[in-house]
Amino acid sequence: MSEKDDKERYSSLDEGGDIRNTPDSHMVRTVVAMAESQTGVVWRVVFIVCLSLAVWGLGLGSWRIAMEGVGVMGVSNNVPWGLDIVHFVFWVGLGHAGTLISSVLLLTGQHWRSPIARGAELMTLCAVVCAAIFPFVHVGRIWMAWMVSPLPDVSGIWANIGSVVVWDVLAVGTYLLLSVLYWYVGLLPDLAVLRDRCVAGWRRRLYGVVSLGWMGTSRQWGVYERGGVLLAAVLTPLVVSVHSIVSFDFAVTQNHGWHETIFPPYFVAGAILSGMAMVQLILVTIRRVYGKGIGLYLDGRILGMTGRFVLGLSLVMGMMYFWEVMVAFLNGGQSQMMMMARLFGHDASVWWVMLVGNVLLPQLYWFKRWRRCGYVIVPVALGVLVGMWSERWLIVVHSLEQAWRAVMDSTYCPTWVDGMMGLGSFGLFVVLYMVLMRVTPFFSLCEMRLHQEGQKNQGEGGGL
Amino acid sequence: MNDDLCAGWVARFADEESLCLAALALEQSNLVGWELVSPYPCRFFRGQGKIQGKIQEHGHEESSRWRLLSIWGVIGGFLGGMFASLWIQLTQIAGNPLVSQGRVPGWSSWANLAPPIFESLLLGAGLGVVVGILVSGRLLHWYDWTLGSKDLRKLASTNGFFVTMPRSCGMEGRAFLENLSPLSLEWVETPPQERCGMAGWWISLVVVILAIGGLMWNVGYREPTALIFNNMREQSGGGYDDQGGVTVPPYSLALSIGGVEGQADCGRSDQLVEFPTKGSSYTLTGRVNGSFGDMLPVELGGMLDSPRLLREGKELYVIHCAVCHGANGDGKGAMMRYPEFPRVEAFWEAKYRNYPLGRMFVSVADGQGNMPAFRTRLTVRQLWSTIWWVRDIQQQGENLKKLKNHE
Repeated sequence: MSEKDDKERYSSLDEGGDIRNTPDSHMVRTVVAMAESQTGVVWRVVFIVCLSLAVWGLGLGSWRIAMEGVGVMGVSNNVPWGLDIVHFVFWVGLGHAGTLISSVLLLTGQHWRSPIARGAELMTLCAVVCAAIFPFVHVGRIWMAWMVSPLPDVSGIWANIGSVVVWDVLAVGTYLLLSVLYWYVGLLPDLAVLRDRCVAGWRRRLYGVVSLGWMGTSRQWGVYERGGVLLAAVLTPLVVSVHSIVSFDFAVTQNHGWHETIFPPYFVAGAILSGMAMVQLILVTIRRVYGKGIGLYLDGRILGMTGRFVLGLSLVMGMMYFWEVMVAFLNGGQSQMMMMARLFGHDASVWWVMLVGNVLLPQLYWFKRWRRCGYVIVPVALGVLVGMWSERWLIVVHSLEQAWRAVMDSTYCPTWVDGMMGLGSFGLFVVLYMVLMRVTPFFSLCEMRLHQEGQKNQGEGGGL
Repeated sequence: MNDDLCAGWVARFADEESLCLAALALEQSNLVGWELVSPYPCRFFRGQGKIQGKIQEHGHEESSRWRLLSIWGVIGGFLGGMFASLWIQLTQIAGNPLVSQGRVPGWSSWANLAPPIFESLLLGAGLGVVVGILVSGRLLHWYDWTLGSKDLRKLASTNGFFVTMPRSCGMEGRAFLENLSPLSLEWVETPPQERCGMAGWWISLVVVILAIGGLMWNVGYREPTALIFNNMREQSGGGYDDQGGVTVPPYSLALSIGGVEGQADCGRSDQLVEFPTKGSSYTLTGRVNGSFGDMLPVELGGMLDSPRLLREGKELYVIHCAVCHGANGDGKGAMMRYPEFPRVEAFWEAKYRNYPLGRMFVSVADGQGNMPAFRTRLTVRQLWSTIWWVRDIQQQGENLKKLKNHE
């Protein structure tokens, strides 16, 4: 009835003609192009190398630990926690900056975060996945790991919920689950965009299913915005509590170098510092690789803001290290001996590398030009990552190595399996990031749109 | 299928300003079921919460109370906290014998319970909000007739501001849209083959069935009885021993308990005598002409006492029996620390002292009461030597009692 009339009265749009003329078309095209374009040679080579690294390192390493026992690791009765736990704490910490950017900065109305929020969340996901592998494998009998779950078992043995290790499982599990959900809910409108852009085939069906029928109605947008704020409000205490609980693993144990009341803020600040450094590395890489695509939206201002975070947190960490040293000397006794061993012992270089990487190098960020210069950012960010890794090593391994009885005297020497696991987790991180970055839009289109509107009107803007 | 779900009009407007004017006009009308579609949350709506609320309410019959995401969050958080508390109650306080017997130091410190409850609360709140988003945003709704619109699908992500109006609004609705002077007005009728939005539902169904099935299969409900170890009768006869091999006793264990004197060989080097493996001889059944005998089998020398046999029997006893019967046969082995474990009487009680050797052989070889069968774990020779040691214990016990009475 009315179909013909409509065709006469309103000419349908030309194919593709209108999109090119809209102000936001470049943004949409670049984002969608990531998902639709063919992968290049470099991408494939890097992907295959990192995938092999992950399969070899994590796959073979886990297999050997499960099949042959924890003896293939360098741990011993006196140093029961080794590189695997170092890497666990390291990766969990990396994730925190992503949650900070995507939820805490949303609540505080920091709009500069919008182009990097999705990328930072992605980093959180990949890092937490990498982290979650280590404690499970480290159990040794990985098939018994389910016993920390709250399933009553016929043998009558339950996980002790008053144990920090069980808290740890709960905290990291909650963090992983909610981070995935937050990322996914924020992704819905963009998945719908991909669905609408795909002509036909399995890709369209896939995006159609995963976008859960998002249409962009005003009701959905309202829910989306309020839900984003609420989820951010849930994630904000979570981001503080997760690494606090990880620090409890050490702090509630009566061991010199572990039993420190400052550990929760110490761990959280360090976590966000290392995460911000990783975000900076990713941003610089993406600007380099996708300079004509999504890299255009990552301007120097954003790098500068992340640089300020790194600078501020490096000062916080400097304060914490100072506090730690002073308290050790004020306490005297074994605490002092421990600190002397850290500062001037046979492997004192680790402590000084930590100080240089975490506190001294980031001081370059006092200068605006250097904060925005990739050639400064890369070494500083790498320095921070190395420094934070050294800090985890000091806390986990060095504290255990210090023995006060002759029978406990031992040193820790990681084996090949420990190294494999670490390298493999690095490979897994890169592989996951590369895949997820390609199949999902790198930044939220609607949020970028609001970001631009907000810049125009100096008004509001936000959303997930 | 409801016709409303299959066809309608899609009107396109130039920008969010004109879309909002159209929305205000529609809001005054009595048309039902229309929706506004935009590529991002429009600033115009954002600035005027009341208008946005009205527009979202308009024309939808279901109650608006499900829209309050914060309620979902609170409910979820409450459930999460309850879950953690239930977990603590069921598995720790009520169920765990180690806790209920006060064997876990520091359990009375309630601060220990704060972190898990806090995390569960956050987890519940987050899950609650996500469920709220799905429910009140009408998601998990894979099929929509507006997907058939070319304009909408092409422009929804960039610069498209649309009003969609289902067929039920009729020509009245169409005329209303025309009066609003949209850029374009499209009649959309989804062809039948496009109405395949059920895929998502099928996938969800499969996922739900798998999840529920997995839970039922894996978790189920098990009586949270406080048993440290199973009743031995429910255990299998002996795992790898069933393959026909002879169990190699854990010598290090025996040594650590202090039960092995010198280099014992457990009879493995003393296989000169051929033992029967089949048949119904006394050696294998403990019976002579149907009644229990009270002597060692001929292969072991009949009634002859052999120090070597005794040493071997003592060693095997420490390894296999002492954990329940006690190293000296008083029935107070290590397992008796667990009150749930069945009691064992001392070997020098009259009940056991009156057992002939053959009866004892049958008990040990085939099991008795809570005691498992050892026929698959020990060789015949090992069974007999163990019994010989038990008999020795009984006599010593008797001597001890006599001595005590004498004193």
